[in-house]
Amino acid sequence: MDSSQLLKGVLDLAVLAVLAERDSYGYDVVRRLREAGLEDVGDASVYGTLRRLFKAGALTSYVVASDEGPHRKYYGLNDVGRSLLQTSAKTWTSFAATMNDLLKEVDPG
Amino acid sequence: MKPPMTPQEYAAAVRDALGDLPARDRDELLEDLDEHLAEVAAESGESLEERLGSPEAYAAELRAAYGGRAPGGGGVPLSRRLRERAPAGVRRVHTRLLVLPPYRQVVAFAPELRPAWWVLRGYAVALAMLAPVGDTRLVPGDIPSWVFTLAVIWGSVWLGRRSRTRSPGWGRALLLGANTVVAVLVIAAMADPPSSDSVAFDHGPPPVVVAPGITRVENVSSFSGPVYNIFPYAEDGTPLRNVRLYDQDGNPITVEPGLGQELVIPCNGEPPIRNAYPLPLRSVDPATRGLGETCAPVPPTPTAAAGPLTEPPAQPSASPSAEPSPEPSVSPSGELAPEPSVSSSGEPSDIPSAEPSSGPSDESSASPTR
Repeated sequence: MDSSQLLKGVLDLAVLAVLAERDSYGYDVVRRLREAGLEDVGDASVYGTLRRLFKAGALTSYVVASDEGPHRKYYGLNDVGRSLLQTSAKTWTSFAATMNDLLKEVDPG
Repeated sequence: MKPPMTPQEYAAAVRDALGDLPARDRDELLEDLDEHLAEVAAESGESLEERLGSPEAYAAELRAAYGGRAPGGGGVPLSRRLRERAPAGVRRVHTRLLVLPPYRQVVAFAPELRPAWWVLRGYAVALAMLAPVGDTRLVPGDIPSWVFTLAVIWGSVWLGRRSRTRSPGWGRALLLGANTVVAVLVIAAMADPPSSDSVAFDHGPPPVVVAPGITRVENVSSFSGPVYNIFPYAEDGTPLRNVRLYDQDGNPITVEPGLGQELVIPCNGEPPIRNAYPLPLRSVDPATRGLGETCAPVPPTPTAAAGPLTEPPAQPSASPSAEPSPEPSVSPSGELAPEPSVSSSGEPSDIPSAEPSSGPSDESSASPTR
């Protein structure tokens, strides 16, 4: 199974988790997700997810001017985003536990 | 070999690839794509295309992450979007309503009513199809109508049983629409049954409700046209007069005077009671027609009680004593001044006394000659 398929379902949760740690701009989110181990994550996927979460009212955004390079648009969680993260995390935890339970006997070799 | 794209060129290509999105959606999505791409470009020496793939692929990924819309053309066809979304909406409403106990009960027993609905809708469709042929009642009128109705019901049940096992998408939508139409039809038919406010025997035309509280007899027999008067007789053949008729609800039963007929309204008395039969009718004189208030000298003579005010024209044999005997009090003896004439012509002075009975007495008898 391609892990990018799995990632599709949990990318929102991953992005929310990264932003919960600290506010970030788009490319920073991509980089941090990759550093965390999600190497397959697509740039466009992260960017699109950020824009969607922002449109859905889960994120705040603000522009930070930088001396070198372009202005950066930072995203951070608001209350909606935090509660979304909480419920999504709960769902994930129970789902992951179920899957682990199912796969207990399987030897990944 | 093309030179690597700048972030601006790459962003423009992505924007082009998303050209089918509504402008607002696209602007929202791509608001800070330029900056983002500049960031990516600044990160390494690789070209944007090497790092991110083609702008088209990037656009497709963006689209998927942003709204789940499939790439290409006008996106997902409207019919498919509707099919995917409408059930979702219905399901949401359904889930919410499930907290209500009455709704839960309905959901529980509704499937068991399905065959009943098949029969009912077949019946309704059959009646609706029979209606243009002239059968407007809630029950089929004759054997062929019954056969037809049963055949339609059979078809409806067959369709119902079949659609449970296999149902293509469009077929289900079609069936749902048809069922909705039929449901509306059934409810409309049940909500507007033939009015019970009318009396009709035989196959008369659909009854007309004149006004609440008044029942009108439209047609009693299909052979002799509309009924415009009623002549009651006692058991021994004595014609009765001034008989008041009411229906089962106590509403007066009235008839409309026929063409060329009008009620005789006494000049100085009460207007006749509309449900006292027989009605005092007379044929309309074309000369006096349209003159507005016309009244007839119908004196309340005691002798009038002897016979009916009018003579039934169709049944002369049945009325033994109904000779149109001019009332003695009415028949004028004076030549010059008869009763205040109805015919409103200046005739009384011209007409010699040789025919004194021609004027007022005719009027007083009010014979319903046509």
